[in-house]
Amino acid sequence: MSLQNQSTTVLKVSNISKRFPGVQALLDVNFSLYKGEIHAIAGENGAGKSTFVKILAGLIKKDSGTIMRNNIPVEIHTNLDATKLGISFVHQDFGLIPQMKIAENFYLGTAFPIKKTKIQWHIAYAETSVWLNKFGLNKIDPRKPVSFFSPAQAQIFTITKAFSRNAEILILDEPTASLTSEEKDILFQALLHMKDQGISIVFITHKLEEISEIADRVTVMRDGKVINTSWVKDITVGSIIKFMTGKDVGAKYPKRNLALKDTIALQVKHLISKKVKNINFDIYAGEIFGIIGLVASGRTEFARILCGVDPLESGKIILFNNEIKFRNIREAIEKGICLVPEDRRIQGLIMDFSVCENTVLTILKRLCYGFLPHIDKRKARKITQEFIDKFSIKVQNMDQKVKFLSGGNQQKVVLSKWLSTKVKVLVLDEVTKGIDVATKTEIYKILNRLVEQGMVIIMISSEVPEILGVCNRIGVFYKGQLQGILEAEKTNEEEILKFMFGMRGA
Amino acid sequence: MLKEKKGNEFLLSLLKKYGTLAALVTVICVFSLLEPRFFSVTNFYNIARQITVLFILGVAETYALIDGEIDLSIGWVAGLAGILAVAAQAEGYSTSMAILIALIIGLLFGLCNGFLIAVIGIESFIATLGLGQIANGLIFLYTKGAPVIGLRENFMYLAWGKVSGIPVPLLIILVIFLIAYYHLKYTSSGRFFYAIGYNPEASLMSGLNVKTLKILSFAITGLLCGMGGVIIMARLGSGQPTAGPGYLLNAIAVAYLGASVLKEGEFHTLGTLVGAVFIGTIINGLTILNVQYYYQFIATGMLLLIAVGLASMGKKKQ
Repeated sequence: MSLQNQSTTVLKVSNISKRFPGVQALLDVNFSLYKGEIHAIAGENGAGKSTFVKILAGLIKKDSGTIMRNNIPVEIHTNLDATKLGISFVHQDFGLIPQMKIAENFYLGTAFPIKKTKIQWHIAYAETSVWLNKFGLNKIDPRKPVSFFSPAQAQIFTITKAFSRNAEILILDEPTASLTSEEKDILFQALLHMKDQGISIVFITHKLEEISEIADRVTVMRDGKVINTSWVKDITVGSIIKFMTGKDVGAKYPKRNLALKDTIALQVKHLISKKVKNINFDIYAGEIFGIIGLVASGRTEFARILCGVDPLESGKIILFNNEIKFRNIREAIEKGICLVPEDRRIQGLIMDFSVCENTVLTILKRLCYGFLPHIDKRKARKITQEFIDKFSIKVQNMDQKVKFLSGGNQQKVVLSKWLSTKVKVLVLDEVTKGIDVATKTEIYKILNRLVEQGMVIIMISSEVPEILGVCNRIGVFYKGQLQGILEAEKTNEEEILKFMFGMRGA
Repeated sequence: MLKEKKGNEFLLSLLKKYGTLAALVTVICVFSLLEPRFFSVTNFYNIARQITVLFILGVAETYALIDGEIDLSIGWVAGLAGILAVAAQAEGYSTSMAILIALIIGLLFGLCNGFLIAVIGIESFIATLGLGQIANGLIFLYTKGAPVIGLRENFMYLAWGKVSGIPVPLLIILVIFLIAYYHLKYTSSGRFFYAIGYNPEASLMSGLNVKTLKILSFAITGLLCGMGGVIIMARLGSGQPTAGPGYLLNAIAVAYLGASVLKEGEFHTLGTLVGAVFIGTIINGLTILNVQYYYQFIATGMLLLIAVGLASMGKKKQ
């Protein structure tokens, strides 16, 4: 890579600090960005990554420090200031209006091609298409609404849009969080294409393997400070983790007794619905069963049926030799089947409720007693405290609203919420998404403990290494059917991927 | 500089939390200085009488707002329930029977609202507007626009009577306050109402029966409207067809004003009470000071904007 020698600095940040009420979010952050480099920022949740890039994008004001753009000191007060300086921030949620057409979104924030007062739609469509083609998005019709396309397409479209506005610096905040590995590849291709054109890219990620895959340099942040910046080729994933956590992390996946017991805990027989075809499998007591597949492969749909969210058309679910039936989520929960849903912010938690209230939400009725039945607050607090201790959930106190917790701690509250019920089968959908490495390991340990205590755990994930590291056996979904069941010890990433893409099995 | 900033933030958070209460105390002080008659037990009892309906309907609206919905039918439903209670009394039914009829009418409308919103899936703004219009139509169909007379003494006692020196309306406020406060704070269904309002999807995924809860909540709103309607007519001494609807906007204002009290942006019973007292005090004070009636609207409008504006300030930062 010739980058090291060229090194024209397009952005230089010195001693940036930022304080929020109660926390020092950033302290003396120094950072530089070369022309045409992809610079990854890694760090645990709450390390200050998002705050830092939001300052660059003018979404948050810094308290002190300087920013130099092409060696000229600049002040970035608003997002517009950043745009004028050629800095473009791609939101986690893409900053698009899903109901409006691609072309309309393309011109949002600038001027439509106009003749007198009338929008020249044919020019707008043509111009949008030209830009889309540049990034290999020729399948996207600018006349269709954004919601019509996949998240990856929408994301690349957003980047395209930024590029068309003469952006020289692109900031991406966890761009791959909701993408499948196939979609991720398309995104990375687009990024490399931009890099070739001299665009500099700042890239926040939680997935360390992506750093070595695409980045030139990596900056690791911890507790609002920059711990280390180095060339990716000079650093190992192990040392990145070490910088992130501040301690040596030996194995990412904790070891567990893998010996399968002979008892069958859960049987799924001929499960059929609109979106899944004839699913059959058994889960043994003491194992974590993994489910993997591409988006829309039926993995999430299957989980939703198993947990009573969506109705099943036919088939049997047998738990410890008893067939169980339920018509909705409530009945499924009563039978002991609980779902930790994919999106903890929208589906998992009441963000404006406290830690305590979220923890006991599912058992609130059982906590009521007395004449004019009221909630036994002492008991609720006791239960919550037990979970806080057991899972070492980091909270100021249990009356803190969960929206102020980090992602990992929020997910622990979701787990507590279900474990306070008499759960027998716990279905986890992307449970570690957007969670830092150290907390991931903690969650794996919690799952191991639960499974040893006799709980049935089904773990859905789109990350192959995770599923390989955590589960005993893995069911691979492809186009609504179970393509095959693999034993984690006897398989590898490549084989799983082949099953995921339907090249093997069934 | 950092320290100063921290101080400012602290002040702002104080202002957000206690601003409305402090403003209420200030307003009471100012009125007391300008007009000695204002600061007297008799006048406080007056204020209590004046705000009874406002408070009851404010609590009704609070229930709808906690759910994340809005109820635009409360004024009309209260009007219809009150008029039918008067009519029942005119037909010779006892006072308790008349009140029961009003409550049932309110409950029915509440259930219908809940059904349309939770089961059919109509947006609450439209569902309650539609049912409110129907209630309005029924009011005029029944009354032909003329007041219904025939209230007995003991019916009007609800608005004008006293129990060992304390006005009955004050007692009604107290009872409804205590029940709603207890319910929303200490019972599971009360907390569930907040949960479904904050995040219906997570509530559903947590196994809450969102539909039933929503219907239940609107039923409570309806029941309170029935009660409110009774007090309106008892105060006026007859069934006035136009008396109910006028309360809608003030009830919404009271609930929103209440959301700025102590808790930033959360609807709660104590807040609604403070809101009702605040608006009642301003109207009462301006009346005693002989300020032209129309200024009351301007004053309450400004009060609402300032209080809610303060509570909303800096929300975007989060």
